[in-house]
Amino acid sequence: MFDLFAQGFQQMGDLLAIAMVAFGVFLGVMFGCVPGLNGNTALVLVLPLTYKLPRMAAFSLIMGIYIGSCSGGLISAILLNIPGAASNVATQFDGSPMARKGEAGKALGTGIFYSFIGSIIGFLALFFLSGPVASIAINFGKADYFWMAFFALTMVISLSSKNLWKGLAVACLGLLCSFIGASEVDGTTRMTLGEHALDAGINLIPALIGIYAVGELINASKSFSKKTTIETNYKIKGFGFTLKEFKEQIGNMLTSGIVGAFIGILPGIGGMTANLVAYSISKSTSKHPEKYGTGYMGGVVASETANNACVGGAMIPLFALGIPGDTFTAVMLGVMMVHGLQPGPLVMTKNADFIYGIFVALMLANIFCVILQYFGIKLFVRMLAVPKHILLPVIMVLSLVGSIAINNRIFDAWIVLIFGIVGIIMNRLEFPITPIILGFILGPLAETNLRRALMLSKGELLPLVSNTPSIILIALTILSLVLAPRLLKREAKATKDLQETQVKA
Amino acid sequence: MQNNKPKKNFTDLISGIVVMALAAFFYWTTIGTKSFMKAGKGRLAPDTVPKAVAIAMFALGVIIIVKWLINTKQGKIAPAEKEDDSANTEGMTEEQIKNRRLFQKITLPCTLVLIFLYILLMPEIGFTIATFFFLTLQITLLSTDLSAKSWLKSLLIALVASVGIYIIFGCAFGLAVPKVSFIDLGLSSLYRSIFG
Repeated sequence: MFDLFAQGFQQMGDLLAIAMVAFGVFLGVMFGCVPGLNGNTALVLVLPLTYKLPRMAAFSLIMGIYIGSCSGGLISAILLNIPGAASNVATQFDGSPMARKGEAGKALGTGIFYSFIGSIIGFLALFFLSGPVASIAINFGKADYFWMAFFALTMVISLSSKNLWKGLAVACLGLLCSFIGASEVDGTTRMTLGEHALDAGINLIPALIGIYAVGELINASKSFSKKTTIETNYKIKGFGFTLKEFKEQIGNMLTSGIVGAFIGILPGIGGMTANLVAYSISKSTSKHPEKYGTGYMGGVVASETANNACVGGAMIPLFALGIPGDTFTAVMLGVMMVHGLQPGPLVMTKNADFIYGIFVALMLANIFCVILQYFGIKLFVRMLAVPKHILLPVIMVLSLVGSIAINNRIFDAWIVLIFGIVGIIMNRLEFPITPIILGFILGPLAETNLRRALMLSKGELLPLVSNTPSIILIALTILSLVLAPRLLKREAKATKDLQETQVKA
Repeated sequence: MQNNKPKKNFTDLISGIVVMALAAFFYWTTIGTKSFMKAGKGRLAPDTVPKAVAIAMFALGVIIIVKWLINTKQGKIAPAEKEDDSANTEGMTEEQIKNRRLFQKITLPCTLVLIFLYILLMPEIGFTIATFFFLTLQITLLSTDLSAKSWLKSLLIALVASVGIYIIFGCAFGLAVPKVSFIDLGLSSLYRSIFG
C-alpha cells in the first residue's frame, strides 16, 4: 500500500500537477462562493483544458475544484446571508446569525476548519471502502451488473424526485438517449434516423453540458444584481474557537462526517442533501437543540463537515464501480474516458498509480483549501461582485469548445443545444434532472449485461435472479425504495427549519 | 398585480403530454431496426429493450396525466406560483423595473437563438469572428443595458475574450475549433512565429 502511495506521490510529483491543484481550489472556492455559480460551472469552464493537460494534472485540477467548490459557499453563507451553493444552505442557518452577533470571524474559522475535517473523513471513507467495493464488483457476472445498474437507477429516482412518476419518466428518457447508435452486443445501429454522426451514440460530455450549462446560464442570468450587504466587520484569530469548544463538537463532527460520506456514496444526491440532513440530525441529537438557528457553532460544524465529507464518498462508486453519483462525478467520468481510462472496478487494479495519485491530489487540495480560504477571504469577498453577465457567456463559449474538441466535430455543439433545450423544458415542468443523466450513463451497462446474461442462460429467467450478488442487489433495491422516503423526510424537515429560522431572524 | 382567483396549475398535464410525445418519438425511431445477429433462444433483438422502455415511458406519461386529473378534481394541487422579484427591484425606477421585466422575458429565447446562430455560423466564418459576435450580443443582452457605453464595453470584452480563447485553446492547446477566417489563420501563424 505504501509503495502505491509512493507511486501516487510520484504521479503528483511534478510541479504542474501541484500548481493545478492550487488553481483548481482557487477556482472552486471562487465559483462556490458566488451565488448562482458552482463547482459544475467551474468544471465546465476548464473542461477544454483537462483534455490537453497530462492525465494527472487534469485530475488534480478537477479534485481542486471539487474540494474548493464544496466549502467556498460558506463565505457567502456567513458574510452575505446567501448560501454560495446548495451545499452550504445549512451553514447559513447559524453562520449568518453568528456574523450578525459579531462572531463572523469565528463562524468563518469554524467553517474552514471543519470543511477540512469533513474532507479528511470523506477521504478516509474513499480510501478504505473503494478497494473492497471494487474487489467485490470485479467478480460480478453479467446478471449482477444488470442488477447493479438497476439498483443505482432506482436509488437515483427515489432519492432525487419529489414525484416518483416524473422521476421514472425522465430516467426512461435518459435510457432511450443512451440506446441511440450501435448496440454493444451485436453492433446494430439503431434509432439514428440515418444520421451517421449518431452511429457511435451521443457523447456523455456534450449531453451533460447541454443539460447543465445552458440552463444554468439562463437561470443565473435571472438572479443577478440582487442588492446585498456584506458583513465586513470581522477578524479571525486562530480558527476562532477554543479547545473546549472543539472537544464539545467532536461527537457532532464525527456524526456529520459519517452522514456526509454516506450520502455522498448514494447516487443522485450529494452535498446539498448532506448538509441539511447532517444539520437536522445534529440538532435533534444535541443537548441544546434550542440554540440551533440562533448563531450556534454546532450548526456550522454539522453543515460544513458533512458537505465536504460528501466529496470522498461520491468518488467511491465512481472509482470502484464506474457509476457517478452526481453531475460533477458524471463529468469526471467523461474526462476519464477522454484520457483513455475505462471506468469500472478494473481501474482500481489496472491504474492503481493513477487512483493513488488522485488520493494524494485530494489531500493536497484539502490543505490548499484551508490555506487559501484562511488567508484569502478578503479576496474572495471581493469576487462576490464578479460581473456574471460577462462570465456566463464566456463559460458558454468554453463549454462549446469543450464539446467540439472531444470528437473534433461541430455536431457535438448541436447536441449541447438540443440537450440544453430539453434541460430547460424539464426544469420548467419540474422534472428532476439527475435521473436523466444516470439513465443515460447506466443504460448501456444495464441493457448490454441483460442481453448477455439472457444469452448465457438461453432465455431462462431463473439464473438471472439466483446469484448471490444478484440477490443482495435486488434486496438492496427494495430496501432503498423503503428507506429513501425517510431520508427525504429528514431533508424536508431541515428545510422547514430554515424557513422557521428565517422567520425568526 | 394581486389576482384573487388562483391560477390553475397545468404543469403536470403538460409534463404528461411531453413525456408521451417523447416516448412516441423514440418508439418511432426504433421502427425498422435490422439486426445483424441471428435470432435464437434468449437473444433479445437490438430494438427490444428500447421499444420496451419507450412503451413504459408512454405509460408513465398516462399515469402523470391521470394523477393530475385526480388531484385537480380533489383540489390538491397548489396554484401556479408567481415569480417574486420584488427583492430585486428595490430602489429602481418604474422604467427600470419595466425594462428588467422585458429583458427577463426575452433572455431565454434570445439566448437560444444566439447559441443556434453561433453554432451554425462557426464553421462558415471561423471561431474568432463567430465568438466575437456571440459574446458581444450575449453580454449586452445579459447586462440589460442597451446604452452606447454598454455596447462598447461588451465589444471590447468580446474582442479580448474571443482572441484570448482562440490563442489559448485553438493555438496553444491545439484544440480543433473551426479555423476558417483570415483572422483565425493569421492568429495561428502569428502564434507559430512567436512560439515556434
